[in-house]
Parts: sequence; structure tokens; C-alpha cells
Amino acid sequence: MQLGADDLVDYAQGCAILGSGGGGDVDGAVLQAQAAIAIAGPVAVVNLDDLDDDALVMPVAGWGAPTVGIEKLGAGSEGSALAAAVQRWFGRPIAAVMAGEIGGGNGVLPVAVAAELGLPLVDADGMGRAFPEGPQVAMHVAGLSPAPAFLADEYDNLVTLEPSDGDWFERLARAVSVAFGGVALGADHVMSARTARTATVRSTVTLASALGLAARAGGVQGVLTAGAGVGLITGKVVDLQRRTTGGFARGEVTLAGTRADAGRTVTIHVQNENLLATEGARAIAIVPDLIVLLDEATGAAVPTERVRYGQRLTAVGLPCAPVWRTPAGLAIGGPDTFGFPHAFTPVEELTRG
Amino acid sequence: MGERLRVGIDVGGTNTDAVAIDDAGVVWARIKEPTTADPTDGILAALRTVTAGHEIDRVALGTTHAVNAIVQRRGLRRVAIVRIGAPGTLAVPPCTGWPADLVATIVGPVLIARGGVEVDGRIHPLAPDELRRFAVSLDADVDAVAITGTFSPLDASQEEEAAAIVAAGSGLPISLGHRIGGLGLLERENATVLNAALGDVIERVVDGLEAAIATIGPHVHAYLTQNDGTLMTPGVARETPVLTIGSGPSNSLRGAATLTGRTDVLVADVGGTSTDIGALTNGFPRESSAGVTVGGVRTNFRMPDLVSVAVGGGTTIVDGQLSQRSVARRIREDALVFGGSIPTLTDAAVAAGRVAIGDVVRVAGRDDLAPALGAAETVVADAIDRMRLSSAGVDLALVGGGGVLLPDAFPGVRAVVRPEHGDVANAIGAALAPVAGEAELIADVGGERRRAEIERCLDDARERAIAAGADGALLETIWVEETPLAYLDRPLSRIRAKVAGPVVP
Repeated sequence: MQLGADDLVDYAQGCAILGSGGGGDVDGAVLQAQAAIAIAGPVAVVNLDDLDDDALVMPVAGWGAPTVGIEKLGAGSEGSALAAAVQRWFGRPIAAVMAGEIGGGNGVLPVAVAAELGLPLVDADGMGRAFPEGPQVAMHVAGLSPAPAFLADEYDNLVTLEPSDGDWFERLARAVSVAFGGVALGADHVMSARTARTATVRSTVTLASALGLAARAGGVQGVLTAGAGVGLITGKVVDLQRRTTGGFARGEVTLAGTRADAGRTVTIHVQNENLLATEGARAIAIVPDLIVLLDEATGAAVPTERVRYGQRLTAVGLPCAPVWRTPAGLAIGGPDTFGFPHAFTPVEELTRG
Repeated sequence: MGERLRVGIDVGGTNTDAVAIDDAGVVWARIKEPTTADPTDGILAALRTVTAGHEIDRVALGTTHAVNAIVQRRGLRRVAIVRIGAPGTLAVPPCTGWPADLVATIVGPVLIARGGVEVDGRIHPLAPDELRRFAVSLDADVDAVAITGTFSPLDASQEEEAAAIVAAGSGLPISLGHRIGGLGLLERENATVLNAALGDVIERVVDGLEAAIATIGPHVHAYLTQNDGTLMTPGVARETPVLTIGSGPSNSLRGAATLTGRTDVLVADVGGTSTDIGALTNGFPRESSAGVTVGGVRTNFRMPDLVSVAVGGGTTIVDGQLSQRSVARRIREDALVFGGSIPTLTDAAVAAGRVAIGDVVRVAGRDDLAPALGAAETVVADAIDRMRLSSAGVDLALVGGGGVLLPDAFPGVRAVVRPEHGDVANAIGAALAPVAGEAELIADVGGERRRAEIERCLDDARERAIAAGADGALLETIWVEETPLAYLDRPLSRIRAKVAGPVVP
């Protein structure tokens, strides 16, 4: 499998779906990846099983404020700066690039980095979805340290972090991205292919491409089939609340059911990503399962900031990667992490009967 | 006599409409004619017709010239592109993702120059020599320059500085990003390049309009309408022609506001090919949150939030089914009631006794057309439902030439209003359009600063509206938006504001 300029359309749509409403601007990342592919050619997608045990895998992700990111585009050389730093640290070359976060624009950006470096992209990522914080990755659940972590900007600044734990990593990386001017490109949780085989969420690049293709060919039903998901409600946005607290965009989207769902009302609770779906007092989908708002007519994912009154949407729940349903996974990505009192129950059980 | 009238002209894809109207909203003259191959001919003819015998104070024109030029790739200037931001922004060169034929038509030499502004206000210095060398290297193939710098909507000084250098070195007309669009570098740059490319197109329109106006009397002021349904002077239009795109739907919505006297109402504009449904909020079109794509190029213009459906007077009925096609301007030849052989929604409405147009006998007993009319109503009803903000009942104003096709009741609609002269609502909207000013800033809104920063943004907007010709004493706030910036260490917000008021008399 490879990702060329034409393949990016489906892949990016799949990343938008896996973003669960968040994960940053997809369109801008697609342009950057297209520009990089125009120079370097298509990016090969490689299975972790096909890499040597000691092959070095570099996860990359963009940090910072999306509103800054739409102005402050990168130089396109940040990936090379990160790679050089990683290779200096580990004393051997990088074999492949990986998405730290497959959801949203952060799923697409690593394609540009891989093209820039002339390296393959690993068919895996750190989340299988989008999460707001850097340590919310499967590698963290597996007990890996984020250190050494590297952050680069377009002015040849490179910062090496050796945080003592995930909380310090988040705190320090945020501070660096602010000092850079609001955004940064980062590499962290660098690991061998042997480690990555068990410490990452596997096959998510393939999944994203399949989801995007399914949305294009089969709309909402296609997404449900490709993602083994369940429909939560088909309806119209009748209420929309937005506010910002603690640096996060929070809000609620209320859908009033139409057609077969007439009479039902479902509220989606948002904190950068869609985190909880409730019907009355009852939860019908809970983070870390994915809650995705799809355009009812086209099956295209509608990110949080594009939700408007009156839109006709289908809310779907997709089961998250198994790692997030373990006690260790729920400890850093479960409902409690986001202040919800609900105990996690898989979406397929919540919506059964 | 002694009444000084305003003229509004709207050039659409199907018809050119014009009205002469007084301050009280009384229509003194009106005309609706098929749009001519060269739209300027139709504008002149319409102007002569509606101004005959009246004293005219001002003329406002809404036109599709600019959109047509971009879509057809005709009459466009070749543009040299300067982006200020290197070494940042190099990852995505200008015009990435554009259609190849548009690139071939308008894109000249490109320079990504050193410099740029940061969100925190820091400025990376320009390298003047680099800009000077680029400017003098431009050859005779290049007609205009587009200059866009990072974060220029927040601090335009560097774009201005670069413009002075490039103008001195090249002598070419220059479009600056901060005058064209808001935040979103690529979209703003795209719009700025299109703007530079439209220089000749707008010259012809404005020259034609001014020449025509000169023939109807002295002291007549000319204006063009822009995408938000407000006016700009010919001088501003020459600088920012790309802002004239999409003025048609805004003019219709504004006209509906005038004709119904309502500030919050849904509006369905039924034309020959399609029906646009929009919403008036506070007397202005509710704007879409997503940027608009023009000729295959993404911009961040805010356009009216519209749902368009393929239902119009010329929509054809094939085997009893509603089609997606329209006979458009051939309706007076092709429709059954006009002696043609193609069944249209107009024929169905006539057969249903909803309206009497053309030769009614030709569709007598054509009950087979009724299901298509019903299907069209369902499509429109669904679109109306999508535009409603809440489950509370709303009123619907029906305007446009095809309004007669639709019934007087829709689910969830309290009342359907059919204003007199609704079929030329777009021209009326142009005639009575106000002048607006918009501003945008990013500021620290921590502590008690929010109020002061919003007021500062409003002041900027007011200043711009007054500079554009609005009466400063009568400005009203149209909207204020605040979008907090996530993932930063300070409570920064992006604040945008828009004010509007009548033209200084």
C-alpha cells in the first residue's frame, strides 16, 4: 500500500472520522502532504511486522492552537530537524515515521513528514482516534517514557525534552509550543519496531483509508460497516452551546431525531473531541469509544467547529482500540479523565436492545 | 416630482433586474429582462428604462461579472505572488491544490519572502533587497501583484511595507491580503490572487457603470454590492473586486427584509433554475461558517448561509418525475404553456390552478404533472426545515420570479409572506443596501479586558464603515463573535465585529 496525492482524499476523510470531531484542521494538512508528495513522490505504508526488530520508528504530531496553525504554516523542514535529532540521540537512522495521533489533521501531517524524509509510514498510530493531550497514547499505556521528546519550528529551533513522566511532558511541550509562537511539530515515544508491535494501535492507516473510501462510496452506512460502529441517532442540530474553560473548547450539541428517530433527543458532550453521548439521563456512548458526527447525506465527518444549527447529522459510535478499554487505558483516556461520572461501558453494549 | 430615487440593478445568471425606488420603499419603476451575453449591455438598457423621467440619487449594481470571469477563466490578469513568511509557510507553496488550468491562466512568478507576523505580535523583519530584486525582475507578462503576509489581519504594517517596495520596483497594481480576507493564510492568499486577477474585469464594469450613470445626470453616486449585501464605492470595488462575488443571494435576502419589514425571517428565492433558502438575522443574511470555493479555489469569504435546491420555474418534469435540470432562460420557448413541448414546474403550477401564466388551455387536464409539483414542494419544505434554528415557528418570505410555484403552507412555518415586487427583491436589496465595516483582532481577554477588547474591535469596524461611506451617527452592530484560542498559556480570543449603517446622504 502507498499514499499518493489521490489516495490522500479518502485517507484524510478517514482521519477526520477517527478524529471524533477533533484532531485539528485536516484540509491544511492535506495541502501540506500534497505539496510534499509532489516533490518526493508517494509514501509507502509499511506493516510493523515487515520492519527489522531494531528498526527505529519515529512518531510525530503537531502541537498547539488550530487557530494559529491556519496562519503559521511550517517550513516543511521541521521533520528533517526532528529526524536528525532522533538519529543523533539513538545513534542509528530512522526506519519509518508514525502518526502519534491518527485522528484529524494529525493523521495526515505524518504523511508530509514521511515524504520529506523519504521514509515509509507505519500502518499504526498512538491513539486510533484523537485525544487532547500528548501522553494519551497507547505507548504510555504500555509503560514507555515519552522521553526523549523533540520539538521543532520553522526557525531552526529544536528543543529536546526529557520529562520525568507524562504530565511533565504535556506541560513542557505546551510551554515550548507557546514560546515558538503557538504551534510546534514534535516527535516523542521513539521506539524500535519490536516495541511498536505491541505498544501502538495497529493497522489504523489502513482503517482510515477504508473508512474514507466507505464514506465516499456508501455514506453513513458505509462508515458503520467499515468501522464496526453503531448508529446513535439521525437528526437535526437543535441546540449548540460553546465555551472555553481551561484552554479547551467545551460544549454540547443536541440532536433532535428525524425519520425513524423522530421523538428522540441525543446530546453530545464536547471537549475538543466528542466525548459523551446521552439520551435523557442515560449514556449511549462514552469516551474512549469514538463518537463521530457525520453529514447525514454524504457520510463526511463534521468537525466540532463546523457544527451548525439545523444541520442534518448522524451521530455514530465506533468501538475504540482495545487498549483503551483496559484498566490502564481507561486510567488515562476514560470518562473519569474528562470529569464525567459515568463508568465506561462499550458502545455496542450501551446501544444493544 | 422632486423625489430622488435610488436604482438597484442585479445581474443574475438568468435575468437582469432593475428597480427605481424611494426612501420609503415605494417602487417607481422596474424591469426584468434576460441577462445579455455581455452583461454590460443589459445593465445599460435596464438603467435607461428605470431612470426615464425620474431624478436619480444613486445607483447600486450587483453583478456576476467577477464570478463568471473566474469560472470561465476569461479576461483575467496574470499575477505575480508574494507571500511574506519564510522560512515559515514554505511547506505549502502558493496555489497548492488549485485547478491546473487556472494556474496556467493567472499565476506568474512566486516569491515566498522573509518576514511575517506572529500571533503574539512579534514581527520577523523583511529583507527589502529580496523584494526589490523580485519586483524589477517581473516582465511584461505580469499585470498585477498579490501580497499576503502571515497574520496580516492582525498587523498589516508589513504587507504595506512590502507593497511600497514592490510598487516602486515594478509599477504594477497591488492587492494586499489584509484588505481581502480574514485569518487563514492560504484562503486569504487565494482570495488575494483572485482579486489581483480581476483588475481588468472590474475596470470594465466600473467604467461602464460610471459612463452610463453620467448620461442620466450629474451628482448621481455609483455603488457596487458585495458578498454580504452591503455597498462599496467604485474606488473600493476597483481595489477589491473579488468582494463582489456572491452578492446576488445577499441582495435577495436584503430585499426581502425591506419588502416585508422584518428583520428575522426565512427567505426562499425561487428562480428559474434553483431555489435558495436563507435566513435573515437582525436584518442581515445569516452567514455560513465554512469558506466558499470560487472556480475551484478555497477562500475564507463569508457568504450567506444558503441551502440551494434544484427547484425553479424552468425545472423539467421527465416521465412525471421531477428532474435536476432546468430549461433556464429558454422557458418562454420550451414550456408547455408557452407553446413548447417540455413539461416544467411552471406548467405543473398552472395545471394545478396555482397561477395563470401563458396559455392555460395547453395544460388543461394534465393531472400527471401534479406529483412532480408535490415532490418539488417536499424538497423545498425539507430545505426550509434545515434552515430553521429551532422548533419554534418561523415566517417565510417568498421572493424571486418563481415564488408563485410554491404553496402558502409549509410544515413548521407560521405564515408565508409574498411581498409585492418580491420577484425583483434582489434589485431592491441592491438599491437600499447599507454600508458595512468589519474588523478582526486577537487579544488577551483575561481579567476585565474582554469588554475593552470587544469595544476596540467595534471601533475598528466603525472606522472602516465610515471610511467606506457610512453615516457614523447611524451605525448599528450586526454581529460580534468571539472564538477562544485553545492550547495556549494565555486566554487569547479571536474577536470579529461587523457594523453597518446607511450611506451618508
